[in-house]
Amino acid sequence: MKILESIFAFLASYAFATVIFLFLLLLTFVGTLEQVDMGLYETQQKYFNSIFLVHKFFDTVPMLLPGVQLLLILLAINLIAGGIIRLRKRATTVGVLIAHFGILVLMFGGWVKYAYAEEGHLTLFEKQQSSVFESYYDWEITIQKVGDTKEHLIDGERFQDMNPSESRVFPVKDSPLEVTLRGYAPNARVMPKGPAFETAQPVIDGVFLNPEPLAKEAEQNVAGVYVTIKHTPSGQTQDGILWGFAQSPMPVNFAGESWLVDLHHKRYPMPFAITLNKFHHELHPGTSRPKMFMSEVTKIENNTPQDYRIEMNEPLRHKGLTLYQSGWGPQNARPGQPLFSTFSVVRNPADQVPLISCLIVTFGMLVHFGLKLTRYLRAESKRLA
Amino acid sequence: MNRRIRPLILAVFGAFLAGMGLADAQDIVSKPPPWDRELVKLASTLPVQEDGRIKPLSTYADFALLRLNGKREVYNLDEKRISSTEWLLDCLFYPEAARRYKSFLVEASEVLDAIGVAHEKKRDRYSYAQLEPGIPKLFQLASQYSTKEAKDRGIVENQIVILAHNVNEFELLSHYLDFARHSYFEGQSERLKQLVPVEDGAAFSAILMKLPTLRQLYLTLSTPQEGVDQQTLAQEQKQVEQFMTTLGHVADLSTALALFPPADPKTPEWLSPADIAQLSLVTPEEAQPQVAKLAELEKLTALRDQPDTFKSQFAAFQQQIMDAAKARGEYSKVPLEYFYYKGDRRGFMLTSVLFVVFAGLVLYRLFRPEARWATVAATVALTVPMLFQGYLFYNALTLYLLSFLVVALLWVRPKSRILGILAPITIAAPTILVLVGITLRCIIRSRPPVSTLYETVLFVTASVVIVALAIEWMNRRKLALSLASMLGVLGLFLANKYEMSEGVDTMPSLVAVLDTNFWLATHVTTVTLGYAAGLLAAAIAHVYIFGKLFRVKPADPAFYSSVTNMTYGVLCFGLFFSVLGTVLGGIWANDSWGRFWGWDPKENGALMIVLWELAILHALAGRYIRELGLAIACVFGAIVVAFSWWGVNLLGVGLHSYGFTSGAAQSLAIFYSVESVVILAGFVVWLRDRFRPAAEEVEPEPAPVLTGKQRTRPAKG
Repeated sequence: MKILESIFAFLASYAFATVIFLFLLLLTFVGTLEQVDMGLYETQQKYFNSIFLVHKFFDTVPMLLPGVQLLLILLAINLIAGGIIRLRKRATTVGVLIAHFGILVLMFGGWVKYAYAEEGHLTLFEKQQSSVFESYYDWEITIQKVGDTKEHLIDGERFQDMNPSESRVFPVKDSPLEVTLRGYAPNARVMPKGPAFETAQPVIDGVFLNPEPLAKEAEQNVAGVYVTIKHTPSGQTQDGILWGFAQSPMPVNFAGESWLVDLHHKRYPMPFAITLNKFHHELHPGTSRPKMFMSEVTKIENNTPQDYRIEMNEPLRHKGLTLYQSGWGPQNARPGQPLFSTFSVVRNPADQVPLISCLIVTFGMLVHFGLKLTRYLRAESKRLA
Repeated sequence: MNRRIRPLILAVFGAFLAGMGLADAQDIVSKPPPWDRELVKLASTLPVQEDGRIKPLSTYADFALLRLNGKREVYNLDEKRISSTEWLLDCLFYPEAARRYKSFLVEASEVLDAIGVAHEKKRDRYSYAQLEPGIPKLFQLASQYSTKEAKDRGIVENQIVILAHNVNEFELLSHYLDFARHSYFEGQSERLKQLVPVEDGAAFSAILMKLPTLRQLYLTLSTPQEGVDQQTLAQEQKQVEQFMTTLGHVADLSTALALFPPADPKTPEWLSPADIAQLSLVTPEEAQPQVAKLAELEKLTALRDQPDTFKSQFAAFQQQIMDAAKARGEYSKVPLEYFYYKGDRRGFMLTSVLFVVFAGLVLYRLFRPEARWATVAATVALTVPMLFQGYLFYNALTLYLLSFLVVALLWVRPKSRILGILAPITIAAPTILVLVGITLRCIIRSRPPVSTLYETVLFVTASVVIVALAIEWMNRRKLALSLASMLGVLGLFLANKYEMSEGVDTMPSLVAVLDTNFWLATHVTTVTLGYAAGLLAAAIAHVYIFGKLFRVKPADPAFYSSVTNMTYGVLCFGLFFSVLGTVLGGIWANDSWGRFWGWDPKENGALMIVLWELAILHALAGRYIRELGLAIACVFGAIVVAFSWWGVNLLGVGLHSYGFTSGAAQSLAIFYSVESVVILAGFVVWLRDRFRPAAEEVEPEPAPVLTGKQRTRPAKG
């Protein structure tokens, strides 16, 4: 029991808190500098969404560091153990207690977002309508029998972690097909095999999948994978290449029946449809500096249309989804040519938690520092008197 | 580079201009007479559209000259200092003289070596005429280096690009009124004069009026006609074409100033003479009222040697533009902005009277110690005249310097009553000026106090001084007062330096995402207050470290514990605003981009301040650090703040990057080094105390705020 007690005492200690803060500071610092060369997404994955990592100081000295994810878990433990359970409850610590609780709420909100949020974008040309949004990073494979509305889905979670040399088999439920994936590349391009060069990659129908280095902006990566579809009753197989930017799905024919197999960004259905009526953008007069972006949209839910304006800093929130104005194009459109507008779409159950926690933390700090200030003022006025 | 890249069109037209005889004769230069003061004021308040907003011409001139010359003034041919507006008037109406003002600051003589211009000093000022032989080479090099990103250019390469921009900008100004000076019929054939539907010697505006007929004529000449010799026809067509091309070329030179408000209230872009020429070609009817206004400007050009007529004509022109701007609701802020930068000379009488009143009030207070109101009144009497005399931030800096002197004397003679009265007044007065300045900026741009990097400097300065004054009010130890004065000097010095080195309007229009008053008012101001407090805590910590290092008041532990208390208090104040600001930033990001936290460099910077201050407070609570440790940690805090405030902007990534020149990088490196030395000094103190003979060891009494009360339990580990 003694050991448990001292472990708890350590976890609850100021020393532990201080060390965690210092490590967080260090990681935030190196994570900021690394963005210059590494790009935001990669930096995030390496420094902030990790348990451990190896950072090369001054590009030479390698050092094992705890990742921000691990540090945040430890901080939560320290905060609960030291900042709430062990904290002596009395008038002078009530502010601290409230502030600590607020931070805990904030961290909880962060965790909910990390674990449950769905993020993506919805890109619409003027007059276009859609009720699904697409992920920026994640992929999925759909298999659909021609003439059938039902789609079979292989979620990206099940194949995005594959090595190029690995292969995985996915039986397709309620259908005679079996999908085998191999040679997965997170960023690749389909290229025709010319006579003048050799490639180690398999060539199918004169084209092959050429893996490329990861793009600096992760949303520019286009995944690709070699696929073999097997018709289990007949044992026949068909090979092909699935590529994220392919013009059309890959057709498969067995025993007089046809299927379409497609790799695309993961799609999330929305409980309503959005039509882009008009996109407006304005520049500050005589400059190329944007002054305003605004999309006039109609939300259609249960056949009831309702008009909204989505602007910078003015998103549309509905049914747990939030649509933000995030981009537009084509940048060189001639007058009259239809424009498209891109909305970031987020489903975050903890959307309003930061605001609540902000209020709690502010109140806690006000109480605590307010008390200290009054104590100080009293002491000083006694001295001056 | 924040600067707009302008096409270097004059490189192309240089030869053309020389051929037309527009380039001036090098020998005969008439010295412009000094401009009438009233006329300068009229010109100053002439509205002009630049960078997306309407501003007084004086603001335009100030920043244009700052870019060229690094100052708001320049010496004319009589070696007299003239203001930026007078310089601009010379550029427009006496270009041949303005070309001989040494108005180009060249930071590195290597630039001149590169373009083959003779020089003496490493850093010097040159006139356009001096640079002229090297200009083709300059433009050639600049367009070559412009293909590189600014951060990949060498120092000299960058200076060459900057100089080319400046030369181009100057050329655009000095050729702005060429359209009014050019004689379009000189050297033309008699046949052309007959053909063209305008009378011989007609001015630019008169020709613009006839532009549709002229175009029709050109079209008629291009279609074959019966009974006319084809060759004659082609020749005539060519002559008309050349005439129109010349017209176009000259018009194209007058793009620098968008002086003419459009008639249609829905059109946001103001027009330059080039735009009016364009308009006359496209929609002649719409252009007519604008052409009429252009004619007024044209008349001015011819009147330059008749000061009185010139002045009345200028007033008429200014009135016209002003009325048009007023009708569009775009003029109201112009006089206010003029006042903000230039003050108001009419206040001279008031100024003199108030100075006398000020002196009287100080004396009154001296003999009537109980009359506290006299101090307040004296502060007002000192502040108001400073508001009217020129640029208020320069005046504020001067007053802070004065206060620094007063405070320094006060340390030498702590009993002096007159100094005791003057010290708070000389600090409060510039602080009020800074607050008035910030408020005027808010009104002029209809925005909260902080929306650009420049404004953070002003806001941080004001906050630091006010917080320090509040501390002084609480404890009356003179320490916070002295720091207030010192930091006021530093802050305003930095603000002025930044404004001058950037040479861009400090009230720019904002990109769409930043253009939200609610978040600017909440997030940006709180984060900036956090910076201010972090820096003030560090400043107080300096006193602790230097005091210990040089053994000031060694027998006075109460002094040191009071310094610690102040540091601690300001640190807590800072943490409060840093946490609040950082979280608010997240909430803003959640509202505009859909994510609370994106690890953007500027966000990370704010977070780093929070983390460091939390680490300090928890280390303090666990008693891992004491007074000296707190001081050293707070000095390091200044480095963290500086990184967050300026450093991350130099990284050039992320959604917040504002972009600025390399001068800032250098200053920042110096700041980091100096603060590192202070931290080292702190460690020297620590080592000295540690290895001091045991007999001398006196553990200083813990400060009242830092007593055991706040500790929860003994920490382990």
